[in-house]
Amino acid sequence: MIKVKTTRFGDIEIDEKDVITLPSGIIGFPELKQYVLLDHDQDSPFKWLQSLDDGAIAFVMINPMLFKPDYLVEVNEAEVGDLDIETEEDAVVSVIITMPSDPQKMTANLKAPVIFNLKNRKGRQVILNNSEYTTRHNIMEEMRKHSANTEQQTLQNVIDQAREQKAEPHVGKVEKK
Amino acid sequence: MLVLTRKVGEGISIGDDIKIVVMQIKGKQVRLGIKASPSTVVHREEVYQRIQDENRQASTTDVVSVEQAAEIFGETDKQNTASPLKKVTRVARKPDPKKS
Repeated sequence: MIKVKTTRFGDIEIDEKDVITLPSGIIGFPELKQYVLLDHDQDSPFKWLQSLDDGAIAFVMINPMLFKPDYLVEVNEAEVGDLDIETEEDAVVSVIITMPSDPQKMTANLKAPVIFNLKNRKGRQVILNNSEYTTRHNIMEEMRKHSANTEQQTLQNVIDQAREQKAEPHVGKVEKK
Repeated sequence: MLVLTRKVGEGISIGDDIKIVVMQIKGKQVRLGIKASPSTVVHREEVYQRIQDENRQASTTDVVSVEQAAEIFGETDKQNTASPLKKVTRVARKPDPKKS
């Protein structure tokens, strides 16, 4: 067991098998390599990436798919080679949250997600080339955008269905292509 | 810092496997070609800097604000476990001094 004094969670005891290693650290914190992922609480979508080397440093993480289901992380072997990811199922992608005083304005860093290999418990923060992604995506806005899209799609489906149904009697028994 | 003067078409070598070539100079802009082994990650400095700044700010988040944020999040779909990860092969970036 490893004992760590943290500023947020007090003294915590970590099982060695739960330690996550980021060989290159988080960008800006190259000297901090050992972390542990803590659940904020069971129902919360957030997790804490707590540094074991510096108890004052912890990052709030979230699964980006929760607010941006079309998020795509394209990486090449060079960027994640040291994680030894064999299959994509072993990999978990998380993004870091920046929390201003008004939580409605919380943002996620989609430009630089953190990729973890669940098997060997290694992780790495990568930088994506996709210029669509920035370091500050407003999460609430992304969620609204997404739900608006889904609504629009549903509406479109209804319209399409109505059209089809309307067309049907005219088509009669003629075979559709 | 080592400072070197180079002309268009000239380059520098860093170690055994990194080469940087000046491709074009146009007013205040310089176009550089970078040839490095696939394991070398190359990024524009300001992008790197921005991520560093963002991470520094993110590292100071307190517990209370995360609790508030979790409330806002409320009943969002926590079941979406699809992975956004896609491995791609590196796009070759060969400096070609003839082409601008």
